Amino acid sequence: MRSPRSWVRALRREAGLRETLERVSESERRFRELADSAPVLIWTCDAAGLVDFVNRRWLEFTGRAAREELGDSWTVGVHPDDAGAVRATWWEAYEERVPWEREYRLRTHDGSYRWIVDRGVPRAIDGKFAGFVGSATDIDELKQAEKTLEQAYARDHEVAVTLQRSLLPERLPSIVGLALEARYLPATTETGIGGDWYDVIELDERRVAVLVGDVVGHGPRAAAVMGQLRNACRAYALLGHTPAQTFVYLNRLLAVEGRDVMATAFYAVVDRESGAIQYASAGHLPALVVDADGARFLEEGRSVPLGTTDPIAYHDAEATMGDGSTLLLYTDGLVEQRGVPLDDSLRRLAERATSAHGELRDLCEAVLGDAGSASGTDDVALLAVRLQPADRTLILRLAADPGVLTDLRRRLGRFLGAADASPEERYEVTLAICEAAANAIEHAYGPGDAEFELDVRLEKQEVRVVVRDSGLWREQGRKNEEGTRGRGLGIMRELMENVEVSRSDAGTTVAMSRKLSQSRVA
Amino acid sequence: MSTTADIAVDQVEGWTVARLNGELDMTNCTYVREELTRSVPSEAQGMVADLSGTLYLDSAAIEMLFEMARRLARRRQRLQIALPPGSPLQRVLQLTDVKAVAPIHDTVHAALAAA
Repeated sequence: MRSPRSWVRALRREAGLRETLERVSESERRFRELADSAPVLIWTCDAAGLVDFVNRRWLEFTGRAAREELGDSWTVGVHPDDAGAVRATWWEAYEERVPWEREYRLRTHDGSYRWIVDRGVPRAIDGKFAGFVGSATDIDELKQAEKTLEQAYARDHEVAVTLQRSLLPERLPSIVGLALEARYLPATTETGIGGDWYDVIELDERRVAVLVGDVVGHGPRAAAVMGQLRNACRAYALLGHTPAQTFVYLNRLLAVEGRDVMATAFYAVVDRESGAIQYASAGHLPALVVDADGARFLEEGRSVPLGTTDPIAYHDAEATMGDGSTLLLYTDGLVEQRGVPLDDSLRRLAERATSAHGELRDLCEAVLGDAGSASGTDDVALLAVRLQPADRTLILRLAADPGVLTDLRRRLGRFLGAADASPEERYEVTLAICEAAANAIEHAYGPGDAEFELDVRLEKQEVRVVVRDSGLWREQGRKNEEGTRGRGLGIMRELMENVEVSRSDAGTTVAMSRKLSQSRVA
Repeated sequence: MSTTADIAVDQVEGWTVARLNGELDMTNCTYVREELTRSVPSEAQGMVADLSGTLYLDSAAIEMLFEMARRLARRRQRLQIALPPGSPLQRVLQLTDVKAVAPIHDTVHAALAAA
């Protein structure tokens, strides 16, 4: 039982509460009046997270009655694809009592949806959490503009990538005495497509020109300039100009055309018999010569980028590379990483290349390393050139077209002739290799641009052959193999030793070898 | 560059003698087969394929020889092959058992004498 004194206390408390409530409802009323005249959508919810008010603009927007928007029935108007996320945001913010913001589509009075950005902030009455107050703005036009812009960017990106690809060599040439690998990774960001390019030009019996360049700038324009420079460079190279002379002409070309562009390039001419390298750099990162013992950068012959100023003199420098060593040309996307000093990146490149100096393709993968996946903001071109003693190794990448077989036989004939094989051996080994090649050609799947690889090595009078196709073997092809090509496989097995055929999703590999009779020349 | 074979056809003692000089592979053997089929008159006893000047022959070309033998047999005609003993092609013809459908002789003369 309460004492009189406690009754008084209780009554006083109640009176204070009523006063507070009146004060609250008065301020609430003023707030709602103000909200109704506002040009944005305004709402409030109570401490239970249920909407207890939406303003006039909100009702005009959705075309519904106030009671249809209260509680949580307002979410009926949220686009089905957004509703889940909106509810999640709502209740998460409610639990945490933190401000939130979310873009979503809300149904309008005519049944269409419009994008709005909705923001809620917690409110308190006398220091106690009392729900949220929020406002939303129609951003539909902004969204549409954003989408159009995105599509335009995507189109731009696609055009640039297509252009870029079409301007790069479709396949690297097969050059006796050289193994070649190239990689081009387009930037993954929308506008990052640059004008990186690489090229390999067989100048004459001994010399091969290799080149990597980078047009400053991005998008289709950079790709177009790159195509122009690449073609011009081919022409100057075939006229017999040295790297420095070629740069002088390319520079003049840019000046004459009045093109406001710059490009960096590294150009080397390799004598595949002597291993002599003549090179020049137009503001480009130094190429790397790698062998099992270490790596060194070609840092001479440096000058400014093409398109900087005209006239300007470029200078040729000389270097050499030994049999089995590799010349690596690359663009800055390979080494430039935010926050990492360039010297560190270059040192790491040299270390990686040295430790991975095995198969050329493995070397390429190793130096690409994280450049491929991590940065992605600039494209990367990489060209690896290895000097292969011509009489010991024949590495070819050929189109999957029967037309290549004739030339292949000539090359194999010369190769085996140099290995001092007898006429029978020459014919039989050539036949076995060509049967494997014919298999690769027949089974290659694709719209005519499929390729296969051939790796023939001579080690201690033993010929080792690997024929690798990356095309998927068609079912029909497989059936076919039991028939006509089965004879080809039978011939391979009879004429060669250790014939192994391995198939996988990545393609088919035929490996085989044969010991040649002892050399008749002492 | 494409694979080339010269075909020289002669009618000798009731036989069609075809010299196949050059290279025979998957790119030209269909053409060669059609040429050869056309060159054998119906009254001939058959054909002697002279491979003494043949430098290269792949499995498709060997298949072509089998097919020639089949076609001639349907017309009651025969296929014979002339191949010098020292030819690099010898082993491959043996391996593929071509002689089961076409006897192999050292020379065209020997082939004609045997017939």
